[in-house]
Amino acid sequence: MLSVEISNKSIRVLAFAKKGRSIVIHKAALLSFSQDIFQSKDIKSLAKEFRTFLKTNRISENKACFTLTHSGVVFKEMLLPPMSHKEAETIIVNDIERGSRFSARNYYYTYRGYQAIEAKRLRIIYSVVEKYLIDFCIRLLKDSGLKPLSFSLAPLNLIDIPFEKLPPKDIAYVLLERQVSYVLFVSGHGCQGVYSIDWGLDDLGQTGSLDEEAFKNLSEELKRIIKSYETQRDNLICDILIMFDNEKYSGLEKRLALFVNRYAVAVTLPKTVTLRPKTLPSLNLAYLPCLAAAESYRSAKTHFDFSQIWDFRSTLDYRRKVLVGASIVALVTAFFGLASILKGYTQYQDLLKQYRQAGDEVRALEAQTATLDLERQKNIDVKRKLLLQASAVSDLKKISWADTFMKVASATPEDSWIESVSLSRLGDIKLTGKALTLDAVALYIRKLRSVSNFRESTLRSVREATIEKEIVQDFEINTGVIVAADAADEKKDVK
Amino acid sequence: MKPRERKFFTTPLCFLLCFLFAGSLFFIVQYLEASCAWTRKSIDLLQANKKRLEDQMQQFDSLMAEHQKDIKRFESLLFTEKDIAAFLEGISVSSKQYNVKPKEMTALQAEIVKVKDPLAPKDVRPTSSRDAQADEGLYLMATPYKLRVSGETENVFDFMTSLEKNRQLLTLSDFLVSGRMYPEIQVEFRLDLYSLGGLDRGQAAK
Repeated sequence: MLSVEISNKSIRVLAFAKKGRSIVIHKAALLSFSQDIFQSKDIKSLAKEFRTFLKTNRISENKACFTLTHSGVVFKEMLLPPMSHKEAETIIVNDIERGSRFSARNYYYTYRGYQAIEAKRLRIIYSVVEKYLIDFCIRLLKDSGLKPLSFSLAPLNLIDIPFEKLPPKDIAYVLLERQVSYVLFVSGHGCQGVYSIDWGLDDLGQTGSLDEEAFKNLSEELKRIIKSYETQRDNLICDILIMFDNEKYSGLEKRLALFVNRYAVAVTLPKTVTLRPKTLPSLNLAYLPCLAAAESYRSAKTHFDFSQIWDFRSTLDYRRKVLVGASIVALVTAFFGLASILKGYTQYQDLLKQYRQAGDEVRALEAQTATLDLERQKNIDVKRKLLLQASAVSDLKKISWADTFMKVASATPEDSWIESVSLSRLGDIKLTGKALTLDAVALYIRKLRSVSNFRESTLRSVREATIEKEIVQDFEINTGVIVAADAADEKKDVK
Repeated sequence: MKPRERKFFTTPLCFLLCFLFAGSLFFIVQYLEASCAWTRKSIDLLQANKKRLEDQMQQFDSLMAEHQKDIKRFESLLFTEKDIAAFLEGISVSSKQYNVKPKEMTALQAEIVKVKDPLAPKDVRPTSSRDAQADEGLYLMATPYKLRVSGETENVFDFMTSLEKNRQLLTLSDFLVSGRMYPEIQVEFRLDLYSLGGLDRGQAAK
C-alpha cells in the first residue's frame, strides 16, 4: 500500500504494508518539481512522470491513500454549543459558504469535533479545500495507475500519529513544508487550533547557508503565533514538535526551538510503525504527513463526508450493510417467492389435471353427441319418409269407391244398364253397358256430367247390338273422379 | 477517514444477481398466475361445454324415446307378417259371413311405397330400387293381392267395406265391377296390406 503526500512542488511516497494493527514501511521516495504542479494543465504527462518515478523506485503497489498539503487549504476553528454532528455539519457548511471563495459544490471539507467538557462547548476545527485540488490529485493518481482509497488534509491528519514519548501537557506541532508552514496546538482533548505561516523551507535556502532573514521572519512568526495562542487560551506551551526535512536541514529544529525559547521534543515514531532496516534505515520527518495519511486510513478519527469525494456507496460499511440487507431481503423474497411459486405450481398442476379431465370428458361427450346427432338426423329422415309414404297411402283413400259406385248407379237412366265399371286408383272410371236408345246413352252422359266431383265424361264408343232380337246400343264411357291436386300428383308416384 | 474501496464490481454484481433472481421469481410468478388464469378460464369453458353436451344428451335420450314410441305407435297401425296370415284367413271367414264367393286371390310382388321427396333437389331422380330405399332405414312396405269375388251387389259391397274397416292400414283400389249376371256381380280389385319394412335393421341400429 502507498501513502502519497501531494504538495505544490513535490510528491512524497511511502510504501508500507499492514500487519495487523502495525504498519511496516519499506520504501520512501520523493519526486520534486520545479513548478507548482497544480498549475500544470497537462496531468497526463505529470502522471506519466510519476509512473516512471514509481517504476524507477520499484514501487509496485497500486492502492493508495493520499494527503494534500496546499496553501489553499483553509482551517477554521469554531466553538459551538453541544449538538449532533449533523447539525454541526450544517453550521460548518453555512460558515464555509458564507464567503465568496467557496460556493455550493466547489469544495470539499473535513472537520474534527472536540467536546470541551469544562466549557460545555463543542470545538470544531474544519478544513476546507477547493474541489479541483482533490479532483486533480485523484486524477493524477488514477492516471498513474494507482487506486486512491482515502485522503486526508495535512496538517490536521498529523494528530492521528500516536507519537511516543510526548509530554502529557499541551504541545505545538510545527510542520515546515517547502512553501508553507503550519502550527497545530494539541492538548489531551485533541487539536486546539491550527495556524498557517506563508513561509516555507524553500524560503530558508540551503542548509549550509540559511537565509538568516527568512529564518528570523519564520521564527518570529512562529513565536508570535505561540504567544498569541498562549495569551488567548491562557495556557503555556512549553514543547514544540518540529516536522521538516531533517536530512536536508539538519539541526534546524534546535535553532528554531532556541529562537522561540521552547523545548524541541524529539520525534519518536509510534510502536505500531516499524521500518524495514534493509531498505529504509530511518524515516525523514518530511514523510510524517504521509505516515499521518496511512495512520488516518488505518484509524479513522476525522468526521468526513465521504460522499463529497467518493460515493458513500463505495464504502465498506455501506456495502456490508447493503449486502447484509440485500441478502436478508433476497432470502426473505426467495423464501416467500419460492413458497408462492411452489404453491402456484401445485395449483397449476391441479388445474392442468382438471383441465385434462374436463377435456377428456368433453371429447367423449362430443363423440357421443355426434353419434346421437347422426342418429337423430337419421330418425328424422326416416320419420319424414314414413310420413310421406303414409300420406301417399292416405291419398288412395281419398277416392271413396262406395260413393263413386253409388253415384254411377244413381246416374244410370232407366233404359240403360251397366255391364262393367272399372275404377283405377287414379280415379279413372271406365263404364261399359247397354242402352235401349242412343238418347238413353246421351242422357246417361249428361247425368254423369252433372255428378259433382266427376270429370268430363266422354263417350268412347257406341255400337248397335242385338239381344234376343231386341236392338240395343253397346256403349263405352270414360269419366273420372276429381281428386285434390296435390293428391293427384302423389298418386302418380304411387303404383 | 477510511473509505475502503472494494473491487468496484462487487456491489453492482450482487445487485445484478439479486435483480436477476428477483426478476426471475417475478417472471415465474407472473407466468404461473397467467397460466392458472388461462387454465381456469379454459376449465370454465369446458365445464359450460360439458353442461351443454349433457343437456343435449338428455334431449337426445328423450328424442330417441319419443321416436321409438312414434315408431311403435305407427307399427301398431300396420300389418305384421302374422297379421297378414291372420287377415287372409279372415277373408274367407268374412266372405262366408257376407255370402260372397271368393273366385280368385293372387299375391302380387311386394313393393315399397314410393314417393317423390319434395325436399330433394329437382335434378336428382328419386331412387326407385328397393335396396336404395331400404338402405335408408325404416320404410312402408305394400303387400298387394289381386282379389276377385262374386255375389250379390249389396253383399259384395258390404264385404269390401268390412275389409276396409280393418284396424291395420290397407287400401282397396283398381276396381273392376262386372254386372252381366245382375243382381249378382263380380268385383275384381287390388288389396294392399301395409307393413313396416327394414324393422330389423332399425331395431339393430337402435
